[in-house]
Amino acid sequence: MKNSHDGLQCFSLSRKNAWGLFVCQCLNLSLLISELSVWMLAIISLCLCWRSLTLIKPTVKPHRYVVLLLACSGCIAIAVNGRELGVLLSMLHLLCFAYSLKSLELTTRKDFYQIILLGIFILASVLIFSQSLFMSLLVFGLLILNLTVLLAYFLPPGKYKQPFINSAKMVIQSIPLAVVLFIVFPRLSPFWQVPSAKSAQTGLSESVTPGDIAHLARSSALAFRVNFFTDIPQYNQLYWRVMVMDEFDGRTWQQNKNNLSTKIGKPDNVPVDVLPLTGLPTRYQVMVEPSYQPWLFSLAVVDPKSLLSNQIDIRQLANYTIKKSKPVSQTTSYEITSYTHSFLNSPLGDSERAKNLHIPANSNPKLQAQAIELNGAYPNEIERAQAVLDMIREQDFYYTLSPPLLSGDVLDQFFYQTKKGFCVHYASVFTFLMRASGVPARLVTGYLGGEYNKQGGHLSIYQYDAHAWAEIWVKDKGWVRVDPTAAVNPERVESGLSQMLQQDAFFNNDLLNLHRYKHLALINTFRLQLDALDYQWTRLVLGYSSARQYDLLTQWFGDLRAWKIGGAIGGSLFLVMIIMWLTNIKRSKSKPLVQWLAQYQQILAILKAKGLEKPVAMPASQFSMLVTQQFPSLTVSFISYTRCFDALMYQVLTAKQKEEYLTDMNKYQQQIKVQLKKVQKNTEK
Amino acid sequence: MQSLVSAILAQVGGIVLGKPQEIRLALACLLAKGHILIEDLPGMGKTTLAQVLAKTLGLSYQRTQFTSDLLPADVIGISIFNPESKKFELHQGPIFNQVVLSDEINRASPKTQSALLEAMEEHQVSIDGTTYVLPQPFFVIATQNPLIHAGTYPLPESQLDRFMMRISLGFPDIAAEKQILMSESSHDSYKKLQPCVNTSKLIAMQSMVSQVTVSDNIIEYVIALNHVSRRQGFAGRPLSPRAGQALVSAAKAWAFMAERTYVIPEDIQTVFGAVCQHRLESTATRFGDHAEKISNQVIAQVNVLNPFNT
Repeated sequence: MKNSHDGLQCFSLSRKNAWGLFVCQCLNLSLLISELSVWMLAIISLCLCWRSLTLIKPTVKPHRYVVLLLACSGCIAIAVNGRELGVLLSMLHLLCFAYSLKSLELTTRKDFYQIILLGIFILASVLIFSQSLFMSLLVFGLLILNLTVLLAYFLPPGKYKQPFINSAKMVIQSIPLAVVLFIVFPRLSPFWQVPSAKSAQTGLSESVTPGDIAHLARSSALAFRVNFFTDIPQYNQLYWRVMVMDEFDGRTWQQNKNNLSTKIGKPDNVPVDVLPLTGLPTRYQVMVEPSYQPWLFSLAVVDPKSLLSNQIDIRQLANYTIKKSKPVSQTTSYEITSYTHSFLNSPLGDSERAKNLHIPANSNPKLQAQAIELNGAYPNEIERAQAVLDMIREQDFYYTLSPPLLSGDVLDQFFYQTKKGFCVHYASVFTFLMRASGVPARLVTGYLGGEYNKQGGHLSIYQYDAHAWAEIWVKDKGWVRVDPTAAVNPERVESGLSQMLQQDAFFNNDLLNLHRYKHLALINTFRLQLDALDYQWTRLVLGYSSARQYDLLTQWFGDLRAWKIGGAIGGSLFLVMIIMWLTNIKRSKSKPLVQWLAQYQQILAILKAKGLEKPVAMPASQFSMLVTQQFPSLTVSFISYTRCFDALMYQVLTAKQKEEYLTDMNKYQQQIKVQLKKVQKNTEK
Repeated sequence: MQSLVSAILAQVGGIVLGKPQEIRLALACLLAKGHILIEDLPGMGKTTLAQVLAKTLGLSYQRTQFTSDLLPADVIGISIFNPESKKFELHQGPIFNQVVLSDEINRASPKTQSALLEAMEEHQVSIDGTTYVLPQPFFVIATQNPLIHAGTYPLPESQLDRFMMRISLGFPDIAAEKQILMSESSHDSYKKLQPCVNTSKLIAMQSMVSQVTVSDNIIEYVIALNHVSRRQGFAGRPLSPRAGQALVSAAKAWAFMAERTYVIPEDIQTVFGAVCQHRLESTATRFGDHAEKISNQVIAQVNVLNPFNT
């Protein structure tokens, strides 16, 4: 209370600035909405609502003890949920909670600084969860906004343009420094582990039931990107394998748990290097978006040796899919080589064969009967498979993303009644029929195709490219890929789903989704440009690993010595400071004197040399009296001169009038100069 | 219009001798629609100046001598029951004149002072729940004795702030005093005065004053002056934005009287003392010429040509 009388010590935030701070807080926190638990969001919105109320009406400020109670209960809630949240998220919860609660006790300047600092910390923590180009730019923009609020506090209230420009300049000036540090500073792996349980897994799931992939097909989220170092295979060869499902319970396909831990080369399998890889190699780099799943994407057959050169730990399973040791929680990239013309010919042991022939005894009796019939008619496996494909092609099957709901013996029901289905339906039925007729078969899920981006020269594979197909075991060839969807709908395989279903209400009813407007050339070009930009960001910034850094730095400096790195950092810092200094010099010079003011000061300088100095506080009109007293010969010219100067300085003039006054002023200026020279001569005499 | 200004100045100057600058300031204040406070010792011609001004401007006026037992009703008026019409009738007080001369305002109790000052700010009074608009133009010319005199209630800062200007006349020089003593009693001389202007002409002059232009440079200069008074360690009270407004308005009137359509820094400097001294001085420093010193200090600290770079 003592301070409140002392205007200089008292902290007060102008109304506009207080609202600015509030908006900043809301925006900062909004970036973390998807990471925070519901109860924490409730507490935060309570705090922020209260804060907005105090902004509208300062008297509703909460009592100290209420704030204290809120703080304690929030901390207890975080502590109780700590185990479930994990360390990183608990800390994040605590940070966000403190940030929103602090706004309720904004009474001193220190509180204000703390809120701003916490806000910047929150912005930094946003980047733990997403490092996309868009998010980075958003964080960048919000940083400028936060600093604007900070700077506006030091300026008279109501001014926002100047602090905004200043903070933008500061942030932009910091970019070169950030770039240098980004390139040179040792890249440490994060101390935190982004918990996968919290973030929803995206992409394919580990079990598939007919009807499952349809919802993925409506999502235009990016799954991964591929950059080919060799020729891109044909579109209908781009089967990106992810998971192999070899267990079937009559309804749902699953991966066999035993298979997951089995590496190629372990007993029961042929060693890796024996696998004959034929045809031309296809080398490519895959950049995976966070899916919170360990599964990676590859074309069959991956050269196991190419896996070893990667930074991340990738294993190849017996079914030739590849897998990371931990879930993909950040954008990750790897480079592999595939031989697309090789067969997947791991020999089939007895237990494997039994597994891939297994069907539940009583499920789908009609199909089982059909299979026995087929077995009699076509002794050859290939012919038998062809017969099933012909059945699908010739009968009245429809390819649709919204098939009718199935129950009971789902495959029977689909195959003999509804006849409308999606890739999983066809692949399931086919695999089931093949198994029932004695051919080892399995279901493979993954992605088909991708969109080629000319600007980036890369392939983007979206969630809607998700697909399911079958593989059957053929003697002497190994596992052969069969895509029954091609039988019912060749376009899906040849050109992609999004092309095919453009007219439908294909994607979710999201008007802003650029994928909706693929048929509009301009928007599509824009979308592809954005995609190319994002690709470069992913490749250059997110893909800048410590290995890449090492390569780059050794390329620049030869061998890596500490003093070289230190010198580089120091030198760059020095360079950045020089640039900042130069821009500041430019600014201080950038406000030139108005012409008449400069002229007037020129005359003042001459008079000063003559021993008559104008006191700074004396108006020009009074000074002219002083001048006429000292130099009577100047009387007429100096009074007229001053009148012109006063008019130019203080009168509201049209451009023409200004011109006239300026010419007059110049005229008198010349006169005064001449007369002053005469004065000098006279005094000398 | 300018001839009218010089006629007014000549007429007032003929009665209040030897004080042309003060008369000019007082007229500038009235042209800028401000109220004026004249502070000086008794017998210096405060009341005479006020009366001559009112008479010369041709406005209806009434003089009220403020005393310690003066009640608000004596100033603004009172409702009295009329037994014939059986109704309450308003008896208007002296406030319902265009010029209100409040003599020795600091002798009245604060209650009465504030009744007057409210009318000054709002240009209206409320009596028994009815609001009456005061005539236009409306000026309060108040006089007061220096505060060291016995029996005075000092006007609080907030109420001093409502006077655009405070001027003091000071002792006349020898020639003027000689003329005063030789002339016949001034009581008679100003009663014979004829008004130089009428109400409509005065309003026209006021509107011309408000059309005088003020450039950004002048505004910056005024702000710089205000800022000097707000610095830490400054001897007086800080100047409010209202002080800045009063300064600009008064300077506009001064520029108008100097036959200019725009304000120059000299106008600001000339009116600065009258406009700001009573706002700058704090209760502790009300004695002597301290206020003048402070106001001169403020002016001396601001660079006229480049206000924010001293």
